[in-house]
Amino acid sequence: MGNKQKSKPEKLLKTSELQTYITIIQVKLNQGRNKKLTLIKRKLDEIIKYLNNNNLDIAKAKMDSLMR
Amino acid sequence: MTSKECPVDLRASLDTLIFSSNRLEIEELHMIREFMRKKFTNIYVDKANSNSDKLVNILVLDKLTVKPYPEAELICRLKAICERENIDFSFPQLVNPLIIDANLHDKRKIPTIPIFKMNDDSNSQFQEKIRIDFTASGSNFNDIPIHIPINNNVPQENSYLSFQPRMDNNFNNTNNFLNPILNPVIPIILNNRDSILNQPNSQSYSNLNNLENNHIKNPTTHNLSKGIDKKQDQLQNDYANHYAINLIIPQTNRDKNIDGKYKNISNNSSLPSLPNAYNTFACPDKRDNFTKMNGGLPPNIVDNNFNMSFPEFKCENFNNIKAGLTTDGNLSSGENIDFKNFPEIKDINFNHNLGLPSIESTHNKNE
Repeated sequence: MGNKQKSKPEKLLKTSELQTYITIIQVKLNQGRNKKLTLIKRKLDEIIKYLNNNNLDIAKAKMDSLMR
Repeated sequence: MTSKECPVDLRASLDTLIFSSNRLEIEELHMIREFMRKKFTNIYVDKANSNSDKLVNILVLDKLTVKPYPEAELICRLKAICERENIDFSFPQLVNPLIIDANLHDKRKIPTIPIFKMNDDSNSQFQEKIRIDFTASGSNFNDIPIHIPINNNVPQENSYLSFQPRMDNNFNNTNNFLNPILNPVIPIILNNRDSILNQPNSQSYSNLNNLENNHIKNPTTHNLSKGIDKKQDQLQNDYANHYAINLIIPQTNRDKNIDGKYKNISNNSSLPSLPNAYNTFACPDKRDNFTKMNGGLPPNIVDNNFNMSFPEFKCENFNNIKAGLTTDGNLSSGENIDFKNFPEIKDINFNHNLGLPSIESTHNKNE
């Protein structure tokens, strides 16, 4: 009388499946990096815009947030 | 269930854990905080969270505290962007271009307001007497002193400026000359750096120029240290013949007698026991000239700790600054100070040469 848990059979990955997983992770990492780069570029553009409009204070605040 | 107080020997560790738990997304830390809340009440957890007893580990505190970046650093980066994008932006005059320490490879670590610190730790007994915190000189950018990086690639001689008044007729005996109050070692902050650098016949300043050139060769510092704004150019034209100098005297230990009068440090001193019987300086060759340029004589500002400081003043001839003795607040005659011949810091008794100072950035300084 016990609470014996049935151990699940170990699943064996095929090489093609593993390759797919790796590809998916690579794509996700790339997406994250691109997202970050786009964000930085957008912030830089904003800073340039504020500098062009003589808004030093806002540019400083934006730069501060960019550097974090 | 609740205990009265947290054991003292556990306070530092627990405070650190609780402090970090509110700033990190780590569930285990959150659970610990809740346990502590149940065990030692809300009051303790709130205290730990606000670090009111200053027990949180200083390294953890430094890592987890959000500090705004120093304005000078932001401005430097904005200037770099302006140069790259060819934006003709006129920065306020108060923001000077900085020379950046080439030792700091990480571009984010731009020294802001340096602290002079002795190289040798064994001299720490003198540090408190001589170390100057430039943050005390003012909060505005005009007061940022010259940034002179000290490293192996640049000549170290004359890499900072200081002076000591020389012995002359004003010092009646050697004791007076050695008296730290009567004759203190005083670091100098030069505000109008570029004018001084352009002075001919000045070895110290040409060395400074070399220092600067060395740094301009460094690509990481090039963008940030070059470029002078139009407004600043204008100001430098206005100040072509003037030098603005800030003088700060470090805190000295002048004790009072029981009757409240100031003690004379030296028994042989012939000076009266007046609170303002200290060494002072003034600059100009002619008092009238000075008052005309500065709108009056420099006020002697002395606080309760006997910190004495002069506000910025202008003088016509840089080599004619005088150090002299005053007993009544007015300057008597004094010896000219030779800025070029004192490339060293001495201890408060003038006995030991403490060597060249190193500059440490206050950016990462633990408060």
